[in-house]
Amino acid sequence: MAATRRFVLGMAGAAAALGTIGRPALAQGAAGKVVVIGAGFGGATTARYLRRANAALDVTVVEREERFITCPFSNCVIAGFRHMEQITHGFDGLRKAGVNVVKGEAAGVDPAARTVTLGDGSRLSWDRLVLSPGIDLNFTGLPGYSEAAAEMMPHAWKPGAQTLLLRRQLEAMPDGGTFIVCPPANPFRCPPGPYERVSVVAWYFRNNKPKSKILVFDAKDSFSKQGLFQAAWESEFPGMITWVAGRDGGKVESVDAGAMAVTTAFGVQKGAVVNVIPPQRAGAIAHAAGVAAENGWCPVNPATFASTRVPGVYVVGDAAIAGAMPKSGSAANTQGKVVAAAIVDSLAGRSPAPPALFNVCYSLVTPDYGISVADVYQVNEKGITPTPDAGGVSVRTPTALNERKLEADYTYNWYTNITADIWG
Amino acid sequence: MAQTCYVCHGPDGRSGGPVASLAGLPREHIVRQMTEFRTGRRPGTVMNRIARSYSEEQIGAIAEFIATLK
Repeated sequence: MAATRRFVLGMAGAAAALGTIGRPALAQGAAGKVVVIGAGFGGATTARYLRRANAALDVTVVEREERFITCPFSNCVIAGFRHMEQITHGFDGLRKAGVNVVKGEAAGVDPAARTVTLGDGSRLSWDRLVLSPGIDLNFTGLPGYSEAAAEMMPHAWKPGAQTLLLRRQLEAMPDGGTFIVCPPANPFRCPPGPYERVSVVAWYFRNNKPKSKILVFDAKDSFSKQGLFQAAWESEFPGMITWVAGRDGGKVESVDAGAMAVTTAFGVQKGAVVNVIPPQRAGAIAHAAGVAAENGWCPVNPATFASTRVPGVYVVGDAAIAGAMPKSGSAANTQGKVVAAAIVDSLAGRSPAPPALFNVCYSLVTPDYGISVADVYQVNEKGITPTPDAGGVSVRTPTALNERKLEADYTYNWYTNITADIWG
Repeated sequence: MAQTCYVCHGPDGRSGGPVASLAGLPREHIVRQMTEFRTGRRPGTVMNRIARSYSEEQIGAIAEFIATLK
């Protein structure tokens, strides 16, 4: 199989990838029309790096919002040490890079005619289509939860009004109240996100409402950076946080927003503030376009992120099934670069260069305490897997380097640099 | 491959934060730093973990590309 042979090329392949990246713009040949749905981490990166790789490309991004609010750092807004404006990005950087930005919502895709229809009935044609729709929340996935219930028990898993609602509720909560957090089963957007949220809210409580408690009812038996988070909870917020694993009765069976109550195998527990993070699936346009599988997510070729279901269509970011890669902003960013290179190659009639896939997820425990997980991925017949004996999580026991403080600094640094790479 | 570095080191290797800019660094410097991270000679927080993921040849190729950044 040709693909397998390509994977074993190893270094020759990596050099070829660099060749593609290093080649000057305009020397790439084939022009074409690319439409990208979504101007988030995946979509905006793809659009920008398409234009960088080949300035002859006609690239249009369709985005329903005027500005993009990032999920990363929305936990800092919830804990009160960042403002919404600091996590909101406009699209002038994309426009300056020569990307057409169209405000609208993609409603349908005709893969035969190679068009996408927008909510207002207008139609865009494409040679290649990139879907970066992010997630939709599955409001039917948890009995008692709904869009209406989310006005009382916010999910705050799509940033914006929900983020501010949870912030206001925590501010209004009396000292000594119980904050309940209900993380979903895998897979979901931002695997360390619920636990970072628990951490920075605990920091807010420690400073403002020290008698308060946090109860985490988890659908899972383990979670991202678990050892690091739990050690930090013990050292930074002793006695404040209780995490209940799914197998110990943590799985939420239903919620009652009117009573602010959560039902688990343990019985009924009421909270002063309840954060329900419901199950998720790829954004609606992925389903309308026929690229999503029965499990709600989109299977892709791991080397190119081309949909395995619909030719000419690529899926990046949270909506894609990307093997061992988490649904994160960093992952979407490197996937966008891979897709841009793959589309340039495909329009030029070349076979794709081996992909360079990387992820780093930083999490803050307090504004001065950061931890991370980082991996460089290999792509082969087993799909996307982390490089063995490398990568992984922060050191278990900090040294004289003061790793926790350094990684907090690196967390802010990451946000500055990745957002500049995408929207700057 | 080296464009993945921009996530932390800034677009085109120009960092807006405390993590080092890469633009303007010569090939040999990158190779030496990455090799020292990889072998544990230079202590690190994140880069030591990442550097272990790359072979010597890949480090050479990354350094080659970074040296072209202005």
